[in-house]
Amino acid sequence: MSLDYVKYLLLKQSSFLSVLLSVGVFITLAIGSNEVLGFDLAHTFLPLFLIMALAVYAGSDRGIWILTLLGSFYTLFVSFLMAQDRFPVHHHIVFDKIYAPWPFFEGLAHPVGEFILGTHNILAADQLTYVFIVLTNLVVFISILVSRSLVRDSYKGFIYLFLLLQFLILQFFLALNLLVFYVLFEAILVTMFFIIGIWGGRERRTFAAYSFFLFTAFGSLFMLLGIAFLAWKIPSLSYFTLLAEVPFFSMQLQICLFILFFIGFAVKIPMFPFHLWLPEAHVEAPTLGSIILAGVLLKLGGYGMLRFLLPFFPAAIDYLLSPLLLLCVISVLYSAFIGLCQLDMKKIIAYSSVTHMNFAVAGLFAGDYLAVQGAIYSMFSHGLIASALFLCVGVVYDRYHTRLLAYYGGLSNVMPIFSGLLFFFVIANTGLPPLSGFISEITVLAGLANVNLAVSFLLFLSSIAITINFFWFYNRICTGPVSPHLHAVRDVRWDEGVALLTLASLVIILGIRPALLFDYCDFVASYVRSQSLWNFWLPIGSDYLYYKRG
Amino acid sequence: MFFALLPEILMFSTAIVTLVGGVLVESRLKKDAALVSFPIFYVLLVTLGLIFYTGVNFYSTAPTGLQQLFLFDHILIDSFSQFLKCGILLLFVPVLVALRSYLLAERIYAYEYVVLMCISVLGMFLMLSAQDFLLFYVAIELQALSAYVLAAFRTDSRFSAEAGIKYFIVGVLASILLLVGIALLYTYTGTTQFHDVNLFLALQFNDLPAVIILALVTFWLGLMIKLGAAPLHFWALDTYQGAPLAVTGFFALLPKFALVGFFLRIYYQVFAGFWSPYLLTYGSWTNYFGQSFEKAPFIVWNWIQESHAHAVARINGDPLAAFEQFTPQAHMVEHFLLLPHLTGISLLFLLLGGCSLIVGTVGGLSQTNLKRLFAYSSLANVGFLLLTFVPATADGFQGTVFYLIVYSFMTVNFFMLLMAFHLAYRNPVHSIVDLHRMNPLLAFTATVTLLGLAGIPPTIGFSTKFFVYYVLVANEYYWTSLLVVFTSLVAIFFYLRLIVAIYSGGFRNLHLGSLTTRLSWDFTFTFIFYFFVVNVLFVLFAPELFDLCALFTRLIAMQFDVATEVIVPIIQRG
Repeated sequence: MSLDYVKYLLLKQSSFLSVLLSVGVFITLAIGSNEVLGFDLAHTFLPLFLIMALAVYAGSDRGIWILTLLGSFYTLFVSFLMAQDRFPVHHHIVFDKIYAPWPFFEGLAHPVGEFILGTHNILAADQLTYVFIVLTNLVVFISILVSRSLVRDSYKGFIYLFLLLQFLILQFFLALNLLVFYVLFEAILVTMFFIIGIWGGRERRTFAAYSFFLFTAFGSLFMLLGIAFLAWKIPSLSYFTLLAEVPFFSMQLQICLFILFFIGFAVKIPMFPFHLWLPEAHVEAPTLGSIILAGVLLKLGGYGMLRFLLPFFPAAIDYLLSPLLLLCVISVLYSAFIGLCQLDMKKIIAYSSVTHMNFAVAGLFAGDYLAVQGAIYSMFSHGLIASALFLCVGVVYDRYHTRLLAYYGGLSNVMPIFSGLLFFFVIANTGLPPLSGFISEITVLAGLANVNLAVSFLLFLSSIAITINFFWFYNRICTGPVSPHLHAVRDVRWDEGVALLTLASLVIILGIRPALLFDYCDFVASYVRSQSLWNFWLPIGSDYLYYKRG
Repeated sequence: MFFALLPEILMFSTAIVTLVGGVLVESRLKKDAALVSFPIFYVLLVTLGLIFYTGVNFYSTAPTGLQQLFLFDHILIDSFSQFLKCGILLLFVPVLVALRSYLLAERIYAYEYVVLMCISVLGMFLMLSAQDFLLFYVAIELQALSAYVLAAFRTDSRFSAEAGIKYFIVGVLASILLLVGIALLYTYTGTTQFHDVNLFLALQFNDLPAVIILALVTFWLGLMIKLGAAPLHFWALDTYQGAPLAVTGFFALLPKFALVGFFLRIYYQVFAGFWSPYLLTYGSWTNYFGQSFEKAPFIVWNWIQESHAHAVARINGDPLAAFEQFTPQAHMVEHFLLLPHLTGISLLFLLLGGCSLIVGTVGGLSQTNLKRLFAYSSLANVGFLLLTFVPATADGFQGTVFYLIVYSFMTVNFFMLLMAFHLAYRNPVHSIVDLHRMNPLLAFTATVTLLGLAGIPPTIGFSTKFFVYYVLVANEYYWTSLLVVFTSLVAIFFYLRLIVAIYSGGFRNLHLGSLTTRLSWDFTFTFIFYFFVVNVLFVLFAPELFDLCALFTRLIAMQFDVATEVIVPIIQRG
């Protein structure tokens, strides 16, 4: 019996049996994962279980799509319940208690962590984590919904890669040990590199994939030096040990480490000198790649700042506040105005992503409670809106296979429903009340005004630029005379419509009742910034700023 | 009585038996002269078992395991040497498997390849157990001479002849340098035994005579030429490219492993603690700029700090601090020296390591030939290995061993990949382009292997590179770590380019090729096994592997009574 015959036999089994097997595997692992893995964060392993279930599935692309859809919906549902601490779980393994300054839901201590410098508390979740986990699961669910029409080649491979990416992102948000954090940070890059490099549209995708990977790896390697330094100095990479030790480093050391970590996160956000990869990556990535890139991957940098940079280096942030805010302002204004000159639709949205993310980061550095709340809210709402915008562009690209604005005009005559949805997201992006974009802007600006009114005003100017940008964008595409290049195409399909409507409804709900998110992140936001300079650093004479034990 | 020497005896007898037996059965095995390599696997297994039994014996009465001296104290069989011999044999097995498939595919009816490789491995065994400089020289010559012949084995190929000649001439030059070093050392110490030289150096209280320095540096230079470190690497590129593929794999794996292992022994047994501080003395050639050479950046940095503090004090309205021209010692700021703790040979290791890194990564960017690319990637990894020697501490030792083991196994993967290309596709050097369409399984294997070599998480290659960063940062070599950061970036691009080439064809007309049709069962099994070992076993048991290296380090420290800082915090603190 040769290997070929065995393969033949495997492929010939009926779809029904393989569906049963896959679904059975998934349900067993998903429901029983708390029994199998024995801890509360097992729901983050669901994408991995989905991959395992798909591995035994031998059906059509449609079957893969349905299975993945159900699996990712289940993941979203469970994570939403876990976020509110409502899911009944059974503990089989007794863990180390997490001695956190603020309440964490649960955590996993792994004995194999001897090697990674800090045996305890490798994975743990709190409200901040769940904000991003729910965002990730939502964006992935939306993407899977539309994936079948938007992915043309090797659907199964793409789904595998996509689910692997989801798994790595979820673990990233849970990671509490600095080395685990770093490993996942980089592993996500690899997956994204393949998505951009293989499923991207044109020849330039190779260059875009390289620039994406190398830019981010460049920043990450500086962060790795900082991690190695902390591993030597403390010597631990466990989050709570670091939290207790690092704020007491001398000013010079804090500044050096801050700069190293900051470069790592600044490339991801992206901030001004390191932002060049974003327009390239977004333009060349496939639609789904862009959706997850804008929706989730940009938030990795913001989350890293919230989790590691702000609590660890309060003195350095206080010392370097002016240059940091300057950098944020430059990024915001630069990208807002550069977006006006773009010819490619995706580039416009990419530059607006840069603007919104740097808006949030300015709020983070400001330190005001309102600003931090606004930053978290802004990251969440930007995840929704940017994903929706990229999905809209993806719909149009799927119909007409071009992203150049010059070819478009009067699309509302050809695709009226789509134009309506696009208009909704355009006004959401510009920050019109009562949608979530407005809440995020007003909160960050109010918080910043408490710290530095000038910066607040300069950031507000970008809002004007984005409004101009996007209304002109909408004007060029949808209104006016119908462009001769546009032929009659199908309007929004049901899967795209459901995806866009879901995102739209969430934007409206969050805009009308922002307390949903603000109440949830209340404790985290207050605690992240309460560990500031003025709490830990006691002024002793005149030299407290420069001469501290290292 | 000679039980501990059985591995060497077995290796020698295998070579002899293969040589004689090959002559006898050659006429009968016209088509498959490579079959003569089959008995070797069994012998290798037995040898491995013997080595494991005699060497890796931590439960004996001695804390460092069994030790025995032979041949009038010229050979020492101890855990250190036996552990490394285990490693050599574990790397030798895939080379033999690949060699067999290679010889069958190329229809080379020559059994002498195996004989020469066995003799070379015997030379490596003696090199690792040597306790005398002359025996070491004999052993390294034994290893090198067989290697010269192996490189030039294909008489019908010009490239092979060129590779052999270049390797021979440069190798002989290296051997001459070794011999000059040994001779000079003998002239001034009167002995060639490691132990006695160690004692002699220990009794030097003030200054090492310049001749001793010359001897040590010449010896070291000979070793570096043999290792193929930049800027003495030019022969390695042409040798790797010209030699037959199986022999290229042999060169990339075994002599490097043996040389680095030998270097660990000689560094820690003979020169530890004494090579470092005594070379950088007044009047020595490395001290051209005097004592202030190291301190110049510190002086500049400190001046910047002082003036900034002064300016801030003035702005803050603190007249006393502004008036003070001298900062008290209590207010000393932290300084980041350009070349901290650089004593003696560390500078040379830094130079050669940095050069190898830069040349290996940047030089490899323009290559189209896979074998030459393989050589450049070897060069870059040799750079990493040399950089782990720069801080002469236990961290560095552990980093060297860890990196050596992981790098060797990853090179096995890469080599088996190249061999698979050669066996399955007639045009090996360009096989990597569009591989995804031809053979998705092989494409996946190649991708994972290359990601591991690039040092991208979550592969084990990343753990080794992280530990090299840790070792450099922990010993305050900040600028060196920056250099490593930048070269890592170039290295990532270097390997990513290959991965992009694999997937460059897109998805139209996907030809599902089968990995097993043109590759023999033993080759496939070995390939899968080593792939599994590197990518699954090492990753899952990374802590255990790391602890093994730490154990090995402490063993060496105990055995050679070297005052090294044992790294406890990295494992125990939480």
